[in-house]
Amino acid sequence: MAEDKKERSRIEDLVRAILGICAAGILISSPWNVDTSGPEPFYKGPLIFPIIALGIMVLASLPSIWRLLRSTAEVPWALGKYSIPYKTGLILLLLIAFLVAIPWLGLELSSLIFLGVSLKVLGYRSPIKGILLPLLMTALLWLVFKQLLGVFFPIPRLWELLMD
Amino acid sequence: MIEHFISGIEAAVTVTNLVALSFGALLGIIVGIIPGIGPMVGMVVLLPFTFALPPAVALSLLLGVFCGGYYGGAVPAILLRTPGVPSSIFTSFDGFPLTQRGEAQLALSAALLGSFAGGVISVVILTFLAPALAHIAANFGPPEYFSAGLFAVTLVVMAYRKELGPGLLLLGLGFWLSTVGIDGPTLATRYCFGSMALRNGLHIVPVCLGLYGIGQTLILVEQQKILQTEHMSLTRRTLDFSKLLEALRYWRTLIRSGVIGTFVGLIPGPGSILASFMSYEAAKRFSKKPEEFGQGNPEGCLASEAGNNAVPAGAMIPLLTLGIPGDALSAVLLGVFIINGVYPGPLLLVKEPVLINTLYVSMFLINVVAFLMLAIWLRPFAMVVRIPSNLLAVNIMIISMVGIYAVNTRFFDAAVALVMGVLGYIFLKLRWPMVTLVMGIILGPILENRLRESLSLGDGNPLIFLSRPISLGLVLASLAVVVIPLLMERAKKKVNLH
Repeated sequence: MAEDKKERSRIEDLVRAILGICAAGILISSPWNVDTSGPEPFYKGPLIFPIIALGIMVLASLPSIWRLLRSTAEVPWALGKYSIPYKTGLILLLLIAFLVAIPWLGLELSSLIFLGVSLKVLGYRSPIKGILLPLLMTALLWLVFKQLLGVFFPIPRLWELLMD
Repeated sequence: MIEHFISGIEAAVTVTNLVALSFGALLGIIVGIIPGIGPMVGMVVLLPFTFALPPAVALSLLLGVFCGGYYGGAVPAILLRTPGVPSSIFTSFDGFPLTQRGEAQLALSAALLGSFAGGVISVVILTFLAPALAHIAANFGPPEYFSAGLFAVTLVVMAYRKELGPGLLLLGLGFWLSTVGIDGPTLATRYCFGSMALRNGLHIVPVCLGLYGIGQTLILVEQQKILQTEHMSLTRRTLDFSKLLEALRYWRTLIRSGVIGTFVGLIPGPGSILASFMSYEAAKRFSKKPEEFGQGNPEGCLASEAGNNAVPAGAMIPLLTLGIPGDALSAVLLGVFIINGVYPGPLLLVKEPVLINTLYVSMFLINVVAFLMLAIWLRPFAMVVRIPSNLLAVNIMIISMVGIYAVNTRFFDAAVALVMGVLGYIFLKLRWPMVTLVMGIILGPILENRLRESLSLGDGNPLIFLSRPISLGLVLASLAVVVIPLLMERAKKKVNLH
């Protein structure tokens, strides 16, 4: 209806093929990854539904594997007009670092660093957006999660090290 | 019946419930106004907070976001020709030309009135239709439930048949992800790969929050597009209420669009875009001046908004009576029901009449609150579009991550959300129908249990699905949903060749 036309890319086939191959691998290894020692017959057992699910995945990926194996030079690898998303990758790395940093630095310091660096990466350098916003957001997180909801956060290991 | 309804009203007008639905509607309007975010992101970000709330309040909060999102979507569609939610694209066809003519207030009045009427009409239909459907569903056994689930899943996959391969792949992935952990009936471990943390399975909150809260916001990080808002003119801070009376002239269109939207919402798959499109087209067909549509006819805004705003209540009908969600948003609602130990189905209306009536009243109140909020704070809400989406994205990410951790105070859940976020980002980038993945994750355990129960009834014979009339009908309907569109497309190709 209102959707703009999607351009085909071999990346799409590649992702489908990878998922399909992973599904096939899991399907083959299912007897070792699912405890089937119970007395139930197969139709009542724990394996029937995962086999159907993985089977659907394998079947749905077959056309892509076929297309990838055939040389279709007219279909490009590039995904439309997109280039490599460096900024997204960097933000994702920062998000992983944020998660790892919470036990070490605590919620407040980790949030402040994540927000400050992320906003800088995205080009926000003004004092209001670059400094005040991370401070406000950190305060909000502290208020909602620690004070209102009483969520337990581990004592920062760095703090413990410094105290020792 | 009446006493349950009165109890429902009493529960709905408690301070906690009113605060929850108002906050939900407020957040819904905001995420609806900002293009690219939408009610799904708003709902999943709120998911961790619903654990601390009673079921009715949690559902009112999420329903507020669900309905509020459609209200908000019309504002940028009319003022900037940029729909906040995809279904508001049809509102922009007439809304933006009206804005260009200096009649933005008329367009917004028509859209808001349409949203309100669509929402209210659909709640009334829901109130009367749900018990009738539940009465039919009361005769359902496991084979009928499985076939109904199969029918719903087929409808959703076929609604995205241009992406049939990816849709099926994601459905299978969703089904498989739902099996990870300890299997309830047999207590067997499945696909834990030696991890103790995986024995509890993949919780719906990190999975959905990862797919939408992180995945969608990673997409937003890349958006450098600044909306051109300098021509965004509103003659006053609030809605011009005199224009509402002008829009009320189209009351027939309001009723028709509300009914169309409800019944489209009832069918799993098509969703709000089709509801909006069908309502718009119907209004054009019945209009005395169809040539004015697309040139700035307020009736177009009204029809489109009434259609898409009727979808949430319409989608609640199969959800409450059969436990079958029609789209990703109602799939998340189903997840919230299950988390709270409430299992939707025909017996829900008998077992939890007060909860059901509370939801009906809450949905009505959400429409009133969202309408009033937008009517009174029209200009401040319109200004929300000026917030850069990538700035918002970073903040949504951090709230999502901390929220996921807060549910079980486990960093493992946050790690699951990150992995799901990366997958969600890839799938969104490839424009695959992620709704099938969410449907698979949430419907997976229900379908699996019904399948095993049905096969047990039939001593392992799958023909049990064809031996009972309702089940047979649903299986045949599923087949028809697959075969008919394919045959039609083939016939079309043949005609084009000749």
